[in-house]
Parts: sequence; C-alpha cells; structure tokens
Amino acid sequence: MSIHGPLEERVLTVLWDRGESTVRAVLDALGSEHAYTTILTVLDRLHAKGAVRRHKEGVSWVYAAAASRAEMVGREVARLLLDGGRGSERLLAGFLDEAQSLDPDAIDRLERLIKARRAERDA
Amino acid sequence: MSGLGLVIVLAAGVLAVAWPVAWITAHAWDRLLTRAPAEQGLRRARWSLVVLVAPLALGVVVTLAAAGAFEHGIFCHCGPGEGVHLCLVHPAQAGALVPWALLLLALGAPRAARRGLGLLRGWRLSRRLVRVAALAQADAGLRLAALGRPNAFTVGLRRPVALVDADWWGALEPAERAMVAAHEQAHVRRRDPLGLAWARLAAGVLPPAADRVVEWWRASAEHFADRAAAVAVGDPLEVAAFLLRQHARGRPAECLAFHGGSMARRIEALATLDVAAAPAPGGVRDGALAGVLVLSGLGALTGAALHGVAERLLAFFH
Repeated sequence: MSIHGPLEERVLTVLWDRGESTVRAVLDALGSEHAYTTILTVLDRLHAKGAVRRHKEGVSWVYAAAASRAEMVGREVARLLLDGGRGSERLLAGFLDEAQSLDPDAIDRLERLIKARRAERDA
Repeated sequence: MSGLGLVIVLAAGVLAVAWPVAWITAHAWDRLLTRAPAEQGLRRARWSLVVLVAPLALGVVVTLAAAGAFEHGIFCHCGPGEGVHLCLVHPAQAGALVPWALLLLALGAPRAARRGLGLLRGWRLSRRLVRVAALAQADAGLRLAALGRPNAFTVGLRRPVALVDADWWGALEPAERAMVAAHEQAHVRRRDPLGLAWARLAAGVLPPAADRVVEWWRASAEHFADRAAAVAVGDPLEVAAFLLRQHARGRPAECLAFHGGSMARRIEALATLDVAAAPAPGGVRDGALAGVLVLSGLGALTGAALHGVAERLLAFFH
C-alpha cells in the first residue's frame, strides 16, 4: 500500500482522529472545500489500496482506517527504505548502529569501563 | 587550441591535483582523527573536507576562467614575451594534453556519477520519508511509527524529522525516552542529514579514501547528539549504559541497516564526558572561517587587480 497525494493523507488523518466515519462525516471534518463525490472517490481509492475498510450501515458506507497511524506510517517508511535500495540508508543517522555489532569481549570491556567510571565518581 | 580542449585539460588537471591531495590527507589524518577526542572529530572532519575540496573549488574557477567566464581572468592577457605570469596552461600548448586529460577524466567520472546518482535518490527518498513522517503522531518532538525495529533515526535535508519505533518508545522508561528524544532533536537542530549529504557529495568526487572523512563526520555528529542526551538526563554514564544495553540485544534482521557511528567509540566518549564543560566550538565559526579562506583563494586567483599585483611581484623577484 502506498499513500499518494495530500488529499488521501488528509482523509486518512480524519479517519485516524475520528474513528469510523461516513463520507459526509469526513467531508464535514475537512470543511466545505471539497465535493462529496471527490471524498467518495478518494475513500474508494483508499479502500482499493487496502488502506481503509468499510461496512454498510443502512444506505451509507462507513469507513475506518485499516491500520493504526503508527502501523501505516511504519509500513510506508519500510517500503520507501527498501525501494530506495542499498546505500540510501546512509543518509539516515540511527540512534543505534545496526550496521555494526559489538563482539561479547567488547561489550564486557565497555561494561567494565562504565562500572569503573561510576565507582570513580561515587568514591 | 579550442576553448573546450582547454577546459578538458584544466578539469583533468584539477582531478590530478585533488586526488593525491585527498588520498594523502585522508591517510595521514586517519590515525590522528581516530585517536583524537570525539569533541574534536567534527571540527577536524570539516577542515579535512575543506582541504580535500579546496583544489576542486579552485579548479572549477580556473576552468571557468579558461572558458572565458571572467573578462580579466587568468588566460585573457597571455601573450609571448610578457615575462613571469600565473598562467597554468597556455592555450597554444594545451592541445597535446587533451587525450591524456580525457583518460584522467574517464577514470574519475564513474565514481562521481555513481555518488551523484546515489545522493539524488537519497534526496528524493528523504523528501518522501519526511512527508510520510508528517502523518505520524508526535510525542516529545519525535514521530511515532511501527518501524519493526527498536531504533530511532532522523531524516530530511531541509526540515529534518525524527522517527522512533512506537513499540520501543512505549516500552522505554521516562529517563530513557528523554535520552532518545534529546539525541534525535540534536540531529534535527543541527540538520545532520544535510551535513552528511554535503560531506558525501564532496567526498564523492575524490578517491575512496576520502570516504573516511564522511565516517568521521558521522561519528562526531553522533557524539554531539549523545552529549545532548547526557545533558538532558545529567549523567553521561546513564546514556552509555543505555546505549550498550540496547545494542547488546542484537541487530535486527532487515537488509537495510541504519548507521550510527562506532558504538564502542560513542560509549567510550560518553564514559569520559564532562557535561559541565563547554562543548566544542560550533560549526558556524569553522564554516565561516573556511568560507573566507576559500573565497580569498578564489579572489586571489581570479581578481584582475590581485592577479596583476602577484605577477608584478613575481616579475620583480625573477
């Protein structure tokens, strides 16, 4: 699933904020700048992509985001990073370095260093 | 001799000067930088880049002068019998050098082209990541997303944002959250991804040894962010222990791994860090000084008045 366009993002944001909503409710939340049919089309497109699920209540479709905000953003980030290919992640600075692993001896040595410095400070 | 031929010769001459300078600088400073305190790393990395890139910057201007971009440039007044002057290549003599120059350019161009394309992809990726990150919920200045890996990272060149794994964030203690938030916000404030991109671009037109400078840069940027985390919780040893604890849990299985500088070096630096001491001078002063030096060099080479004065001096002592 890929999110395209600012309107799809805004519609999804409304669904995340308000939970299950009809087309009318989404339209009201976005303001009067869009036509009813535009929002309906966007929701249909998001449904086709699997980004929203829907069920019928009476004569109206009720829409809800298919995944939480964090899950959907996480999936999209993972997809972009994988599409970007090897090397593109070099522009990102991770809090933890995943490209390198310390051997057990190094971990022991660093643990001893931290303990020694704490002991020095507390003495 | 056509202007194009002269430009080719000069561009190759620039590479021929810049590559050995870069190679020698990167190797000679390697030991110095890895032994230097982490506080000095970023400063030295910046100066290394200035040294590495200066011949290229000067060469570009000389090449432009040869192409006639400056009315009173280096080559405009060359003529027989003028005595001592600063001309590097006489148009009449450059023709024989063109095949060699093309060969030299062909050797250097692929690496520069690969790096340029990689950075273009990285720039587009950063823009898309920032847009997607804007959808995520914010907490303590970080954007929460289910990254599937216990980590946080900063992305975006002009307006960077920090993303953190939502599950990991939820499981952290308040003090640990403060460390992660301060670390990533330091990257955001300093626009480290942009600095890293510039460093990679500059090193990309130089021999592979120059990539060491980029890694120094990254390591120093991480150190400054670690310092911010230590200041936030008031105890660098807490940050060191937290980093070690998290790192010892093992690396994720994803094929793309985030880089974050040498963990051992970061932890060692934190173990000896005094948060009460003033941090190393900021990059603005260094950048301004480097800029003045490079601009002075450019002015001396291209300004008609300075050029004339230098020539008269040379003629006087000749």
